[in-house]
Amino acid sequence: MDQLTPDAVDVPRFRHAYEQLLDEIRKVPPADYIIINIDIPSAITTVMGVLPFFKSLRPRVVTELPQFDIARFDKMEAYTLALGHAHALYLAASQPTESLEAISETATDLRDVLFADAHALAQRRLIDGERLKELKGVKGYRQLAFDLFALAALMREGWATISGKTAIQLKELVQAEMLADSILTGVGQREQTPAVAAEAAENRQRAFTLFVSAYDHARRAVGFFHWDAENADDVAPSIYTAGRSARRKQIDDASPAAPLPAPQPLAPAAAAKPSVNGGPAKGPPAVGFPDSEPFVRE
Amino acid sequence: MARPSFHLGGWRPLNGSKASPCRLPAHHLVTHGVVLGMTGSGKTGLLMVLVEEALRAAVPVLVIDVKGDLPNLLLSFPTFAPAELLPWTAAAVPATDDRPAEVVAAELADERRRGLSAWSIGEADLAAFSQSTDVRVVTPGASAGELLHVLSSLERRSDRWKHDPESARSALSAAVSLVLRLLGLDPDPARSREHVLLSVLAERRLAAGGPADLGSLLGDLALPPITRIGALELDAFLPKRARRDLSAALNTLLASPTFSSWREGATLDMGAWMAPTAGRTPAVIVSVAHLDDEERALVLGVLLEEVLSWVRSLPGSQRLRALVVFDEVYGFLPPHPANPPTKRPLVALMKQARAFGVGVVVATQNPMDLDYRALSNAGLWCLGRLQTDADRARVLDGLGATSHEEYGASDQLGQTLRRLAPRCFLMRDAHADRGTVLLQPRWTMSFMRGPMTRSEIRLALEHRSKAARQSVNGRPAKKDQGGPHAKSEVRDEEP
Repeated sequence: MDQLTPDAVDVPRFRHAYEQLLDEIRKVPPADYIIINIDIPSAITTVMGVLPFFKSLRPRVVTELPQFDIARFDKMEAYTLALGHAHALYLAASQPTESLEAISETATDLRDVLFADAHALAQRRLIDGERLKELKGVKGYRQLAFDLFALAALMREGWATISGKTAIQLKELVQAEMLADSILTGVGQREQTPAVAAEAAENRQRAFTLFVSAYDHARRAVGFFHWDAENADDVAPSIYTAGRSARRKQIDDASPAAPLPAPQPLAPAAAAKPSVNGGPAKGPPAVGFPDSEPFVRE
Repeated sequence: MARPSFHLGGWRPLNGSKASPCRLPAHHLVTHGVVLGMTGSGKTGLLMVLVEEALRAAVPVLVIDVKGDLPNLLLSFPTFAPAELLPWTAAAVPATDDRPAEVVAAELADERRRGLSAWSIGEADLAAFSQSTDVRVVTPGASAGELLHVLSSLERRSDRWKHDPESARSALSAAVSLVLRLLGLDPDPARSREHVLLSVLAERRLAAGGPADLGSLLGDLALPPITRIGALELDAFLPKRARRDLSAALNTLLASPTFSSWREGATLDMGAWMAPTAGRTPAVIVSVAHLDDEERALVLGVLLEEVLSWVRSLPGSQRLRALVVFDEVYGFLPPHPANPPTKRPLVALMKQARAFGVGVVVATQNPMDLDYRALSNAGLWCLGRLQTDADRARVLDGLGATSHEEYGASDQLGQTLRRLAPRCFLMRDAHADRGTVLLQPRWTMSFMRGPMTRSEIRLALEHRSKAARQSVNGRPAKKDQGGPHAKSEVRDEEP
């Protein structure tokens, strides 16, 4: 990638992986579909973070687990990237154009953060500042997307040097690439027929199936090697809990539900006055009576 | 014959439109239930409704009571007469209420009548319920209710050794573990040499048809009737000195006056406990509210092992033949790696009991510390108001592991949980088609006056005995009216 111009840039790696695997994706039978019940970008981020560990484990897998399907293990990155692009295609096909604007807003914010950090790193000669001059700015979807790709690529290449010296995290680079991919995909497919949208949904489902199956497969190897240390879930976390954990961390525990009063002895005077026939009083039935209000007022 | 159903109260869709009667088919509880809710959410009331409805359907119930609330089942008075409530008014009103007890009792009785009438439960239903149920309260280590011989599987001969030695062995193992824990020794049957030796000596006696009381075992330790354990000589397996130390510790335990109360009372025999008594459906409440944490874990571990052994001895069934209710399960079913003595049998029950028609319902107000994998098979979930966002998220994560189709709506569920009023629950029945609904439990027939002390349990039992004697002596015997469902509609309707 010598020149980062919108027309000369290499095919983004998400799209490349998807195109490479499209035949395999299309062959996944409906009976094997795994239901999509997690946040896909979070799952992708999780697995991208684990990929270096998988790579370091590979020699042991080959040596000590001769029956292990190493080919599928090796394709973990490709499945992950392919899913990312399939997801972008699905979003582009199934969501209104307004979502592209929302995506670009997020992408713009992230681009600004990455650029600020990159600029600071360049001033300290930790990365090649000349490459920053090739960025195109945020005017236009394509320019924005390619800036994100460029910044992510620049930081990845120098990660060994800059890690620990920047507040940027690897998952933000993944996010940048995914946003860029989504933007380019959305730009390229603004007008979709329903058939195209259906195909995008179907392929996303298939790509997800391949992704989950491959990750589960890889985690089995991790489980085998990390059984005694009992930390398999730490080094290769489940994608079904990782996203929820991140979301939970954002939950504000300082805002509990309005506390119920401490259990008090019955206060007969406070109970609803009986109507003539002994049933509940007029007005909303009291707590415990049929059809009482099921929700508290906040 | 129509299958029984439980009249839980009313249900409505999440959009809050008008409620319909909620009749839960009894066999839906074969796949177990979980009830979660903060203090004041109405969780214990819902549990009591489940217990009452099980009994009305002639399903025997074992209740494990940790907080002291469920002995309120003793207060299921057969009439709306204020006199029944007189002994219980003091705790039912604020301390500043200085009205005469009779006035308070009259108001409480009237409220009880209105509340139950609103749910179509009248005095005839109360009377039928009272006549058709036999409520026992077992208080291990205390005489408020019935004492329990927690080592009965060790010290009392059981016929189970003849027809099911494996389950008898499991129960024996749990009892030996209890003894070793009390001695401060390793209770793990796979690791502890003391456990192996005591179990071998005890089984030898029990299989020969006699008891294996601790005194006899002390004798066997002093003069062993065996020379080998497994492939090793006895002295190589456990040296004489170690056997002497074990004897001394056992003797100290045996001589302890406190310990003696653990070796008296009812035999731990689930088969007998769950059998109808004179045509009445039994409810056995094992109340451990008076024990400390360690004692509770030990006693309940032995109890649950016995429950598990009993369940495994039953023939297969798809109908609900017994219900085990556990309030409050916090600390007894924690996630890995915690492993209290209650966890293994509870997990096994959640996995296996359904095949034998035994349902387990657990409840807690602490959803953070539960092993959700163990609960993932539960078919009925009832979620009351939960205190914090963390509690709600934890529950929805645990719920989401089995509810893929609802994952996308988990945020909405979280918001709904936050806004729930007292005595309202989100209910999800895996056997029903309607997904998550709002459940409003009916009033309980039992007067819910809060946790009962040992003296109050004793008082309630005395009143019940007295009322039963008066019923036998003072009134003519009632004709059999077909049991508790003579007037109730029994329909297999799902919400």
